[in-house]
Amino acid sequence: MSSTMSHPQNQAMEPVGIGAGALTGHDVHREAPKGPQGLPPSNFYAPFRPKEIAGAVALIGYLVVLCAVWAAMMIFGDWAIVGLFRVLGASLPAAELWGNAIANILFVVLAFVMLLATLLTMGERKWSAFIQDRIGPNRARLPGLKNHAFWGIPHILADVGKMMTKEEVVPAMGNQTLFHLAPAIAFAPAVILFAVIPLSPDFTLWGEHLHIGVAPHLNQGLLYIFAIASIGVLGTSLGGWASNNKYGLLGAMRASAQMISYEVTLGLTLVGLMLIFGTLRLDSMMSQQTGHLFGFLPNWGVFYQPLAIVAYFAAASAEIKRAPFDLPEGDSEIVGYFIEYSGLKFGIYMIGEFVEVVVFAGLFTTLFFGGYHLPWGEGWLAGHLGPTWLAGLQVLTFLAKTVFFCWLSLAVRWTYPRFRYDQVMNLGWKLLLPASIANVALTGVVILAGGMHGAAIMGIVELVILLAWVVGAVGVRRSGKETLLPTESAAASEHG
Amino acid sequence: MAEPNTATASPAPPPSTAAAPAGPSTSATTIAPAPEGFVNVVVDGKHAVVPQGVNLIEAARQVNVAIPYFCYHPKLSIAGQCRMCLVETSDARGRLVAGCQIRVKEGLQIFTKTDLVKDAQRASEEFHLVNHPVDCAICDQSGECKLQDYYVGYDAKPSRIATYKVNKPKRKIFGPLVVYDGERCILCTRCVRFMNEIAKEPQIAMVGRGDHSEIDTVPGGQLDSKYSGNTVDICPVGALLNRDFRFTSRVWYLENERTVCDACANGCNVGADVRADEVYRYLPKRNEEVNDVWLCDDGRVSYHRAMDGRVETARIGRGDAARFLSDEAAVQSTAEALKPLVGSSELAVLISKTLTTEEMLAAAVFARDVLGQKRIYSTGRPPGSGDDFLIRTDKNPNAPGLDLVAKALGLELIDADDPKNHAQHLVMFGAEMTGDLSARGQAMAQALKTLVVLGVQHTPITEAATHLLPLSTHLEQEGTFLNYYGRLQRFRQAIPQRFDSMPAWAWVTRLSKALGGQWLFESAAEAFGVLAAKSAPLGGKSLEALPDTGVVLEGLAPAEYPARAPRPAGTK
Amino acid sequence: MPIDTVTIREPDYGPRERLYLRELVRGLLITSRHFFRNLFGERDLNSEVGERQGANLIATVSYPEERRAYPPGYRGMHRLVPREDGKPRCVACYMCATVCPAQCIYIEAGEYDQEGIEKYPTRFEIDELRCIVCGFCVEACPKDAIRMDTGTHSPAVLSRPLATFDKEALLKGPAVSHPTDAITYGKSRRGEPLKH
Ligand code: SF4
Ligand code: SF4
Ligand code: SF4
Ligand code: SF4
Ligand code: FES
Repeated sequence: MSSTMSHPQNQAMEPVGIGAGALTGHDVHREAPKGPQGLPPSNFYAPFRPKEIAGAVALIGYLVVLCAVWAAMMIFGDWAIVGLFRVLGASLPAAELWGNAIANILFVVLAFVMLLATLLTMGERKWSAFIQDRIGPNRARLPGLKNHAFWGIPHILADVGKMMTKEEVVPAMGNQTLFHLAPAIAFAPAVILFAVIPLSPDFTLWGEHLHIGVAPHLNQGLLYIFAIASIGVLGTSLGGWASNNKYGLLGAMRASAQMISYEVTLGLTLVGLMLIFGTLRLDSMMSQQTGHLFGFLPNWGVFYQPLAIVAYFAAASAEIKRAPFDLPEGDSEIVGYFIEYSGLKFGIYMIGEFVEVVVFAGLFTTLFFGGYHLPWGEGWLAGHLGPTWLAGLQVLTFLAKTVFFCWLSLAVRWTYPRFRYDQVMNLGWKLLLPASIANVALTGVVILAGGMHGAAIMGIVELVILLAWVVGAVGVRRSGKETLLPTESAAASEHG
Repeated sequence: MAEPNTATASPAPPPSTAAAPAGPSTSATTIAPAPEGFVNVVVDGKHAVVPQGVNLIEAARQVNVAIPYFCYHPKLSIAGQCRMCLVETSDARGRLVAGCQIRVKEGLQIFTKTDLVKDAQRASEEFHLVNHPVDCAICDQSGECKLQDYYVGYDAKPSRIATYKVNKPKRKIFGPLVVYDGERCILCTRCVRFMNEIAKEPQIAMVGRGDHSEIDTVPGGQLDSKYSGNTVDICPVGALLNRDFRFTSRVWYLENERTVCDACANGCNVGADVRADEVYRYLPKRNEEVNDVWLCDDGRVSYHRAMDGRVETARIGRGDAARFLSDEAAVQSTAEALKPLVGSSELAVLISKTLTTEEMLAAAVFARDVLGQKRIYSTGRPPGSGDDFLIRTDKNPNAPGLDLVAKALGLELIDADDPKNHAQHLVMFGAEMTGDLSARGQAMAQALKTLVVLGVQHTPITEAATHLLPLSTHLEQEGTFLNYYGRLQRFRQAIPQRFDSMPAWAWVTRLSKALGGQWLFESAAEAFGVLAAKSAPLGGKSLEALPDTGVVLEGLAPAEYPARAPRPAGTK
Repeated sequence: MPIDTVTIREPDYGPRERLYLRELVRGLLITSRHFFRNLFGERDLNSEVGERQGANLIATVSYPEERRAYPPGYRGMHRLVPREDGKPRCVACYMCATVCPAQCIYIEAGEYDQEGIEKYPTRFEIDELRCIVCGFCVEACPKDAIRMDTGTHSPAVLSRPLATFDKEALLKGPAVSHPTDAITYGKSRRGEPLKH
């Protein structure tokens, strides 16, 4: 009818002569998505490509080099400070005592534990991202380096800056003294726990007698650990209580109940080790974990006490309040004992948690996985490189093992859902506690009957049963059909 | 003259017959005989009693049956140009007759929905569109266009025309107010007939033959009649358009608010087409006793007074000393200036004949009771040309109103806007004045120590004011005008008050409060009530009860109306 | 009052299920698998997830460094389509402003004196903050004068008024003409000069 008005309407929508984006300056126009929608990515089951494998090897090598540098820093730092004491005129025993102690406080506790814990705050976010197929934090930039995300590490600086500059809110009706004190009470034990862990045997470098580890020669090693670890609960429960906040108090109550419950298990699982190694000193436990069982198995605690490992790992997770035992925190329900904390005090709680992760990873390594010992070839290395080089390699080994167990702890946190409170208590009191008591009794009987050798055989048998159970070869199958849905099974039983 | 016998102008049929049976009834024999002067008809089976002599379109309208039409207009002669109104009647089934031309007769049956009629309507609409450009997108008529509506209602088929359309002048300036688009014209000749029959100034005619016919002005002349705007209103399509309104708004955005034109003393009823607080055009509103359905061109553009050149904020001081103030501060300062002048013979009060009656009342009581004056002066627009139809020489909408107010309040009203004898201080309600405004403004600025002006638009007079308060137009308030023929016409607020302006009664209330007076008006109705209580012709009327078309006040109606002026039935 | 009760029986788990050691390990293996694939696998930046190669499973698109292509019908920011002579095709018919559900188009019309086309917008403003990107304006336009084919979205602005784009800002992109446009250039549809 009208020529002015009528024109093909589709022309109005169709870009004429330009691709979408021609005006934008970005060449972003691509073909429309092809193929079926809603399916997993095409590379869901794709294997690693060669260049990716090469990259993985490079990355692992890079990490090893990093640990080696770290180890070297500890050793040479130790040497330098002991040497400094000597130069300053201290007597030999005094120089070795104080020099080693101060050097290790600096290089192990501050430089290693604190730094690793700090990196873990970022590691947790990044690793959880990888577990969940995300990229993770990568937006913060170092000044002048706009194009490098540095795997998100600048976020740590940003976080520190944020925590330090944030307003600190103090609840007016809370207990002021305890409120300010509690984070320190929670943080301090975590840090000083690391003091008794040996990172290397005693060795000699350019004439100085050194060892890495603040006080590994402490006679009461394990007792020290129990004693200090149980102080931590004060920090959490006082913090929650002093906040004068119902959620905070709830978190504190959960924390104290849970931590005290699991402390018992934690202690009892280690009794088996005490029986086997016959000592409380960690350095002598270390020196007993050399050599090989039956000629090929590393002579590690894991092969004597596999049951204790499981119980210990669970109890330790509960002790440091990490998922799946993070009920005191319970971010999604009660926020937890630190609900009223802000700024750096909250930061201290948070970093304290990661310090605990590092410390328990270190303990785990020390007690069950041979500490600084390499699994094989130590004798050959000692023969060819000498004890000093071996000591350096051993520090490196310890660091690597610790980092691995930190990763395991984080992976566990991002794998399992949180327990219900009654489940936590049931697990602690009804399963782990009896199991650890049984373990102590069994270990005692076996040692009486067969000594170390018997204990090793028992451990290996236990380990095999455990592995078989996991793999599914052995196990008590339920009778009847596999009806897991309650309604289904109910219906089945009703209708015969 | 227009046909006098339109249905709307005729007395309503007696109630007993008006309530006709609604059910279909095909036989006229069952129907009671119609009263004197009326006949029975059946439209699409609906029985109607209609005045004798009306055409089929009006008869069908009585029972809400719409017969489409372009060229027919109740106020114009019948031309039978468009053939849109074709219907069937019982007189000759199977043949089509023009509904506009055929008159009713007793017992006639009219069929508007038969296939034959529908086909004719569709064909007629299609014929009209053969050469029509359908540029509705840029056509001001679109939205109120009969061609559009009927296309949707009676055709709604795609075009079958594959050839070029005839080109005609697209944008021909016919006159100061009218522009013509030949392609859109459907040649109904309504415009020609209006100019011949109503305006009685035959300035346009149909020229050319066949599909090259078009409307044109007579050679050498233009469409400059004072009533040319009405051709735009009656043009059923967008062929004649209002140049003042052209392209300013689409009609579907506009709300039509009934009000009264204030361009002259006739008081024509208009609808202001409004969007938000802006008026876009005036359209005539039907009032058979005042303006019929017409409007003069001056009135048509008079809404500009409310839109352009407004005094927006209160101002104190003139020239370089001018300061703009909030209304509270301005009232305070004005009251301070007026305080020493209360009762002074140096002071004079001027009231404009353009104000609403309520504003005049408020201004007058303020002059009498607060300022202690015994006389008031009237001011207003200078007289202009007039005719014997709608246009009055008095260009003020409410001159009789001021008389009424002065009489009711016992004030002496001096019909002069130049109070020479004691012109030291002056209060002006309304800034209209006669004479050379800039010269007068200068003189006033020299002579007057105090000049309080409540003004609508900026003029040399408002320049001279020492205290200038923004005044609302009648569009921004409720009120009444008393027109030339003594008809009191009520209007409602059409748009919100623009800028800082207020009606005069609202300013009086504030000034009065600041000066300790007792006259506090909350609304126009209150002011009207005060006046109605004191004025005999108003006789206790209330503003709310006034009908939209107004009432003629007793004793104020003229003995004789001008020759062609619309008037109440039964008057000379 | 009797109420319906439903007895939910806990499934009868054996000690293996109760300890769920096996499931723990399996879960850990699954998460570790994702971890290592994403840690060691190289990210394929192909924005089409369905076409990615390699072990990395991360599907995130790191906007703005990486962008997904917009689908062909993507409604980007508006533009006013120019005629060949650079003036807007728009005839200020207000169809878009009328249909716009967000009422974010403001138009003021003017009149060309000389050209065959009479009406044009003296002001044409779109408040992109109010726009709900429905595309109705494009559909409504009888002159193909407004399009959303720019492929951009409206830019971020620092104050609200800056999100209102005027005629000059909107008038961009390639010119468009239709065979029926002849009248636009002062000619009749037969190609003869228009008489006035
Ligand atoms: S006259 Fe009516 S049909 Fe013709 S262009 Fe104007 S609005 Fe459209
Ligand atoms: S200009 Fe309008 S009123 Fe006059 S003949 Fe054409 S369509 Fe009819
Ligand atoms: S896209 Fe929708 S909301 Fe935006 S301007 Fe067009 S019609 Fe309005
Ligand atoms: S619909 Fe098209 S031609 Fe009409 S005003 Fe909008 S952009 Fe202009
Ligand atoms: S209205 Fe009857 S022919 Fe036009």
